[in-house]
Amino acid sequence: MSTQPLERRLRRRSIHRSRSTAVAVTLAVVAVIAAWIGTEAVLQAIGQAPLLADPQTVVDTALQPDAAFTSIVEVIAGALVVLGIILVVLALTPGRQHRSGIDHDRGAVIIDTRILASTAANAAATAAGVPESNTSASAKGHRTQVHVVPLSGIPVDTHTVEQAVRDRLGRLGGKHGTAVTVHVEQKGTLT
Amino acid sequence: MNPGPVVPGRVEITARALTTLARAVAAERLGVPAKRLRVGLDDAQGSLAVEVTGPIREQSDIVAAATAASEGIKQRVGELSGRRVGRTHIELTGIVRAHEGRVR
Repeated sequence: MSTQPLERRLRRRSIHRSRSTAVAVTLAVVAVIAAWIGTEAVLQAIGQAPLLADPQTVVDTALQPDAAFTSIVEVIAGALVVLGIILVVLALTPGRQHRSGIDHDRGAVIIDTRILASTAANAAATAAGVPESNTSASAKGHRTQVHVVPLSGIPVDTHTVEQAVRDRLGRLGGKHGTAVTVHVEQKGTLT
Repeated sequence: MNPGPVVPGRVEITARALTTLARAVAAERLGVPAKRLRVGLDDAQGSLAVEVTGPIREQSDIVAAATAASEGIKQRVGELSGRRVGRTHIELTGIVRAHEGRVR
């Protein structure tokens, strides 16, 4: 299957946020600075006047700061720290969006996380024998949390509900239904 | 109601129906007309809680009879509705004579 890698990429692209914007901006800035340093070096070598400032002078001024210069440098350093933190966060977080991939024999199929949650809620309601309005679920990544409000007088078995939700989500394939937590409310409702 | 034999759909009993059922059972066990009883349902730790307010039929040991009625109501409501009844609370407000002939 030659389309397999493509499908995998499509799926990944649909689920995770792209980092290419951040990478492109950072690289452009780095390229501009490198080009400037290169130009100044060449100008220095052939004995021409510097374009903006001689790098040697810049370094010398930075090493012997006066009061006004120090405050400017502090501001610049603060901005750079913030930028750096933003870049590190962008790089390390998975950047997952509210979608999930499911197994399908043809094409890459992506569903919204809310669909996963309501599927889990539906399975839980059927297993617990309560109306669907008595269950709620939230899904994040591969983790699904189900909340059941029982009918008074009809005990709800947490284990059965959990198993049912696992089964139903497991049919979607992938890692769905591997991390399910069920919480049954102590107090029930009459209907 | 449990997921035993798989039949699509589900059976729902409304709160009103449950209340009416509990009142009929209470009337039968206390030996008084149902319209003189007030019945409230609530939830007690996931089980049904039945509260009955009304009179009881005249007899020798009223307290024992009320206790027996409470137990009976708990069992019978549980049987008929398929719900687990956690507790029954009976508040007696009076006595009904067996041959209270109302001529009107």
